[in-house]
Amino acid sequence: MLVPDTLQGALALSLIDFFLSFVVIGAIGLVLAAFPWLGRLAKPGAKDPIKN
Amino acid sequence: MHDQFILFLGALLKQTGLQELWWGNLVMIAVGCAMIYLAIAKHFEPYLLIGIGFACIVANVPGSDLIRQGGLFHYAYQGVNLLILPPLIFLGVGAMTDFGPMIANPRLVILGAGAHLGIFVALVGAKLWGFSIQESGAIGIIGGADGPMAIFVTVTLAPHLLPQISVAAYSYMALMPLIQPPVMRLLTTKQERLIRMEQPRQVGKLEKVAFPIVMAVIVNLFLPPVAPLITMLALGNLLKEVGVVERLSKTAANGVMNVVTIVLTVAIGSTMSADTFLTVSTLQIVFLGLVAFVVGTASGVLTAKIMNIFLTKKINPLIGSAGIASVPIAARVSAVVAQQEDKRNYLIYQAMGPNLAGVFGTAISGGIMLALLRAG
Repeated sequence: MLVPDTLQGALALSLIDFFLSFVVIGAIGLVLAAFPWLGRLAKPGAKDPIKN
Repeated sequence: MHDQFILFLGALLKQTGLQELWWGNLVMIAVGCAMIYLAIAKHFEPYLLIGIGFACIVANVPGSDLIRQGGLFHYAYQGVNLLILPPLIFLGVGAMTDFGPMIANPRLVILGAGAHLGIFVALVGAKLWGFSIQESGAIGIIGGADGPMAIFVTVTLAPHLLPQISVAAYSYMALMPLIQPPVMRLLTTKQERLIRMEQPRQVGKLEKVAFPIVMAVIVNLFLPPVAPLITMLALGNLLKEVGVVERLSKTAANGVMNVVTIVLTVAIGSTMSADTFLTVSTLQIVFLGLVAFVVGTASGVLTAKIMNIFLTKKINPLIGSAGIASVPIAARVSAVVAQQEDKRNYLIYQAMGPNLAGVFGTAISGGIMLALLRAG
């Protein structure tokens, strides 16, 4: 098993999991931040969504 | 003649469950009745508690064939055991959910990770209490406040704990309006609770259609262990947002969801037999679940407060607790607590952003846990 069945294993798993949760969800946030550009693609004449 | 009568009566008595009935069964029948009472009288998650409570009563009547191999409840449980029902629940949830608030305010998605510290506190607590690392992971996921995800992770890591964990997860989700507000008030000042937030931008149709496709790709690529759940959530949401398959979308949100809810609740309730449920570990799991919810609520609020240090336009920290998931209960709690301070402060739309992100936060935590623990 990758994670030892000990208290240290539980602590290490918790730290890694909590940290990676922020990384992955932060990455999702970055992807979502680019979504307004899709709206702009749908309406070519629309104003820059970031400046709006 | 008399002897034969006694013999027949004895034979008939052996066919009944009376001889196997013990006080534990009576306690669990009372628990099942209490669940049904709470559902009817207090409206605590009636769609879940009626089925769970009823199946719990039946499972504790020893003569019942329903829960034995070949019985209907046994087959209902196979839907859980084979991980078929939780993804189907997510299909329905996706078809009912508008992800607009999450797409509109991407900064707030970080709260979907911040509010999950409770998972890890419960995990370490469970390990300290002598549970195995797989059992601890399954207990920790109660703090994700996401029933299908808790079932999914538990069936994979510690299937013998499914009744305790699913009951704890759904019970605390129903009790969130009681658990969260004191923690939220304790960690915020009146001034912070009065913060009003701007209305987020309108989200276009193309964005809403792209969202489930992008999420399905990301989750299948980076989090394959929980991909079945999020993929079905994405499919349900795509059916809703495309606007050209209304029949399918409505079926997923209503017909499929209702049928699966009946089967799922019956399956969970049928595992609550006294022999497996009335143990010390049940009490430990129930306690750790409460700790997970309280710590998760606190960490969400604190994450929002930390974000405010760096933000020029402050966010109301009350929306931080919504990151725990449990859509839309936690978002509603944030909005209610804010309105208790200022009746004109409408936070529900802003709280829905972190609330929906919390679903992905739980999936990420569960996915990483499964990836690291399942190998054993």
